[in-house]
Amino acid sequence: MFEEECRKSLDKLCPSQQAFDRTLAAMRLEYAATPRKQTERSINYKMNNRKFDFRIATAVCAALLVAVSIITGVMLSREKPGLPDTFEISDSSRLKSVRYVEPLENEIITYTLWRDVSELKITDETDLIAKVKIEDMREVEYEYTAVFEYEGERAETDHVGNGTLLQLSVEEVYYSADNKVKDTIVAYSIVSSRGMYLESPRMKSGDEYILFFSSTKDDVAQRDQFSDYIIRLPATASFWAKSGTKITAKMSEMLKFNCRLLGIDESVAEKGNMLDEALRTMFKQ
Amino acid sequence: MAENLNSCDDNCELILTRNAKTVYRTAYLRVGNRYDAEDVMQEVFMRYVRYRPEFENTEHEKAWFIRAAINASNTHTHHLSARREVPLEDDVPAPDPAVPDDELLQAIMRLPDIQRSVIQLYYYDGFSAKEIAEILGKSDTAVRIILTRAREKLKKIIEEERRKDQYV
Repeated sequence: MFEEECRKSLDKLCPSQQAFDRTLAAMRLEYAATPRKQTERSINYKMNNRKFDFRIATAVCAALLVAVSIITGVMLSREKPGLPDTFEISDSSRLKSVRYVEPLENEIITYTLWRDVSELKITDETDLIAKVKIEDMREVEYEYTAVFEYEGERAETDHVGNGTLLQLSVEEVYYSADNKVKDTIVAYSIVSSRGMYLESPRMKSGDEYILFFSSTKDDVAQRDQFSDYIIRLPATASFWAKSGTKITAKMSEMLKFNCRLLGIDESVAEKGNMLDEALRTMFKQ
Repeated sequence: MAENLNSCDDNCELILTRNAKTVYRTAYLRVGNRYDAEDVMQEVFMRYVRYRPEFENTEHEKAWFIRAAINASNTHTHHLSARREVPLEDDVPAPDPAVPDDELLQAIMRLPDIQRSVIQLYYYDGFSAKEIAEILGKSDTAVRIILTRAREKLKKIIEEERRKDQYV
């Protein structure tokens, strides 16, 4: 009964014929003007494989967990030089200019998580850039009440957020705002394996990444004290750089943008270069 | 180029006819008025043309358009709020003639964004909680909680409105 009423009511929302015609005309013009983009193939790949991704990912994760536990066992038996409690970074003042990074596929993923990002008050600042290894990760869910600041939005709306909490061991630090980084950090990411975000990296325990972090200032994560840092999204996701990853054409554009901000020679960010090496060069110069 | 235009003639209208209502409805429920919803609709189909994604099936296609409509609506709302425009006295926008006079729809429009979207996807588009979870990037549990709350809130709103009408 309710379903039927809902249907009837929502069925009254129809675009006007004028809007339909205008959109069709605009589509035709755009179609003629836009060459098929190279990145489309990769987007399609991700989209087309989304459904099986979750199943395969679960299987792969299970297999990896077994592999990681075996490797961890072997590694624990070895003597390994301990990491210092904090990393001292010399002269990082110029890196203050690295405030934001344009997300990849901006057009498609823009503000996918905008409200969540807004609520979490994730700043544009990068407080830590480090090579980390995922020791443990689990999905978390939390409820929160948002008070939006923009017009037309009702305050105090209930939301259920979900994301991933990661325990990371810090292996190398390229930039730290306060020069104090623990050897193990807990970071929160609003990427969830259930999400349909085109930029979602397939995170796996045991993998190494170079990540951009924001410290949890005045936000949900800090209030509930569940993490030290937030892995920024979608900007950060695009920089998830597994060791051995080569710079793609799109990454190259973004890195060059950052090079220009830093006043660094753009050649480090050429397509085909190793991403982690390029980042290391950029943020150590 | 001629080939492109021909294939667009074939496809654009088909794609638009198939998804226009869904996109418009999704956008309307997020932005709250016809003019902005139509702008969002145009933006979504432009994105489609720009990226030309290939879909596995019609369900995949529909989910893509809904997700794109939500993204575009958020961007649209964000840009509007960022501009913080103050209309001149003699430049007051005309009332939206297309706001349907429907009790339930008015009540739905008073729900928070996320609840509106879930109501639409569940009751109108017929997606399951699991599918909605994938579209909205939430968990099944979260979607069920949102749905329950939306229903409770709708009931409350409608009851309140009816009580007010009685007094009037």
